[in-house]
Amino acid sequence: MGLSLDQLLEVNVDKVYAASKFEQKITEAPSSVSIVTQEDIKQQGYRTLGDLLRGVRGFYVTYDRSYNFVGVRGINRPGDFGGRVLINVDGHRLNEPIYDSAFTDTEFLLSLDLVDRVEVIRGPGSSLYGNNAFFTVINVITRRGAAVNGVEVSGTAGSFDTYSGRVTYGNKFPNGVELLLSGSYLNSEGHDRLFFPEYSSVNNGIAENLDGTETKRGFLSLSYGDFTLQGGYMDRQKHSGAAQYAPYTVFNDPRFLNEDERAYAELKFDHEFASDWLLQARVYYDHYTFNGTYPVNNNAPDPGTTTINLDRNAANWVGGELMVSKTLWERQHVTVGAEVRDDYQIEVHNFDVNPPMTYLDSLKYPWSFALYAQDEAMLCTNLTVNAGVRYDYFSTFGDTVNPRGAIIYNPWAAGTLKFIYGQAFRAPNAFELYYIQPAYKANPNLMPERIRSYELVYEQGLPANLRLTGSLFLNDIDGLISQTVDPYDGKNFFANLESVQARGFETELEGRWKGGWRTRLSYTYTEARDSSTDLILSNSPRHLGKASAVLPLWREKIFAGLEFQAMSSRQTVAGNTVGASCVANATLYARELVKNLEFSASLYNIFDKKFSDPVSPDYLQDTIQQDGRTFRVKLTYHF
Amino acid sequence: MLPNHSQRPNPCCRWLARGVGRAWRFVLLLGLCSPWLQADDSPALEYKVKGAFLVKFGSFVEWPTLPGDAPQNEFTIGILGADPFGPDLDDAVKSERVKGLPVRMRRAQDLAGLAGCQVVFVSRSETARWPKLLQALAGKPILTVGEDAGFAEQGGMINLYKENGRVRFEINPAAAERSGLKLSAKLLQLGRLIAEKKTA
Repeated sequence: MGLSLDQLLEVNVDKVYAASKFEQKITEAPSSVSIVTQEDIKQQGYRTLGDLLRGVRGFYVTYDRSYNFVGVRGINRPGDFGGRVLINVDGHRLNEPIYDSAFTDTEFLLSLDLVDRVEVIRGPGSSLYGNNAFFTVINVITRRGAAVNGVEVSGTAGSFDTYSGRVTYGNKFPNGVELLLSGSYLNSEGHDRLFFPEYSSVNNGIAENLDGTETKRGFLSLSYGDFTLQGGYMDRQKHSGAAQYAPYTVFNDPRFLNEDERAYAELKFDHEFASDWLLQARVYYDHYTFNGTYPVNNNAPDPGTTTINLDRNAANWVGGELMVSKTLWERQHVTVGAEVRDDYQIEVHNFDVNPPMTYLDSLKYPWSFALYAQDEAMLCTNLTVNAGVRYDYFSTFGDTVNPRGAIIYNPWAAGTLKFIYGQAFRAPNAFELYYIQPAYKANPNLMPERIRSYELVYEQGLPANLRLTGSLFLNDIDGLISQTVDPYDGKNFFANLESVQARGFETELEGRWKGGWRTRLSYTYTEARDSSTDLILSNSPRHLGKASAVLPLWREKIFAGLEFQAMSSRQTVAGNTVGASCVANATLYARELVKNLEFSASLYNIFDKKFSDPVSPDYLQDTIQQDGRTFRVKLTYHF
Repeated sequence: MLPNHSQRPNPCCRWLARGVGRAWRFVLLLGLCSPWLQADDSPALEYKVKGAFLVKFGSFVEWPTLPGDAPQNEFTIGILGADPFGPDLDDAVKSERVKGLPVRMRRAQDLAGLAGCQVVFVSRSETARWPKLLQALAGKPILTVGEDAGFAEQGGMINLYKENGRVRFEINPAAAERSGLKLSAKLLQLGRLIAEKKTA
């Protein structure tokens, strides 16, 4: 045969699913794609999905000591909850309908140990996925029961008294049933003293023992034949030392707590009929609650005392999707689908406990449906066109149509050129539509945000197992929903205020060699400007640079993972500037030194660099300082 | 899990491949640096690579000569269960020789149909039957190759798996030894060594 054993080991057979809802080679996808695997997760010591995304070209993640916020190519608006990135687990949407958040920190639905790979599909994806597929679709693919093949127990210990444990059972039984069952628990005391100079008049600006986290998670995947039943559960409680919703809330109060609970169950049927017909049907139930506990001082009977204000927000929804695809004339891959969804409970409820006072008690039951179609047509051996369109109807605002088209051309050896045009939308969420609270007022006339995106991608395989990717992009965004303050009454509300244009380029050089050596270097330049003022957006770095390497130190059993992530300065909401940051992380990972045992030790922010992230106008603080040097050790044992 | 329906045969590419010389290996070789392969997905590249491994392994293994064995006149590779490779692999092995013998592919739904094969590839469709299959094959001088997690741990000799977008293989040397097969140092060096589970 043509290739030697060594050469065969280096042939890239990587595939991506979520770009077109069928498996295709990365170079054929109508998008610029990155794949992060379980190997990367282990060798780079990623603790959360946010950690993982910080390593992905063009991404940056900010943290306000309650949640992570994912920025893509220069856009990460302080004050929103991440609704411009769609996150799916095995194709199931995680973004919830109240805040649109999908969560990427300790409140992500899955332990990263259960992740087989993460597909990052850049560009608008509303033509297939509808709402939230604005900048990027992230599809998290879980490990199969057969891959776990027994019992796996894992434990971690890290800085700030952070401990976690996980037990997973996976198997494929002789009768064909495949099962994966997992439970995990995380507890972190967090910083015992967080200093915020803005609050220097209260307890000298120190929030004491107010950074704790507790997360419980469960996950089940059961499949037999064409059927898969999957369910996930996550509950996280997080203290808020930074005290959002200033000036109404009280700083350094141990009752300040945010709790998110997210669960779903989905039954999926996947069948391939003879003659290339493929049918996928799924029905799902989803649940989300947010319980916010805020010590407030504005409505107390006597000045100087505090009362408790509560958010009790709940969403429950059911839906179904049917998708059929077929290969026609051996050159076209046609996919059509329909989705319907009933949000039968969207409840936002805000009240004071004592004296009892209800500010908001709104129960809505919006619904939506969608139809979509996509065709991938191979016009010539080296020219493919991928076109799709989706119609979405929402009972809240009406309908929207979003197309995407891509021309994929292989001009010469191992080179691929992609020209991609797409439109996408983000529907206003319940928080933006209905929320009224002492600090907020509602705006029920909100329309969806829209993006038109143009991208030119060039991918080139080079000698010596190197791969070069370059990309030019232009994102035109209209009707961006932004939080603003009414100058008359001082209340926050959301409006379709701004238009933004972001343009830039991105380049990445990746190398993978025999024995597990890997390196990746990337750089992203973005100019994201408010179209009316021509000013650079807040929380938008012009330069993002990343470098990472995996070095097999000994016999593919001991590896060193190294990462550098650099970001240029950013504007804050108040118009100040936070300085550039450069973070270095290192992980030592060993497997099978002791039979069935994996060990890793990680240092994050090795050089203890001080840097801050701009935060939402909900805070008195304009910026919040990030963690310095931290560590984590981890042990995993397979029975 | 996720469906794999990307296997679009492309007559145009088939024609090209035939034109180049009947054997897809040239397409594979050239394809690594040519636009043709980018369009040719019949079958998926993953199975071309796995098929190539299947044939290649033969050159890195020594089979025991049992007393009374008739001299072999061909090297036979059996595929047990659903065939993921397609006819391309048969075309590709036509010009191949392993241990000086011409290579032939055989397919069957059960082991009886694969008697006399030197290599048996256990398709993913047979995962549920492993315990029975591997018991039946235990001690026989047949190289067993699988492609699903746990195959090598449960007594298979070589398991093909995907890692970082590459096809890799893991080896259970104890299983090979029990069957009297000698794996070359090169093979042991390139594969990941797997210890057997006691309770398979």
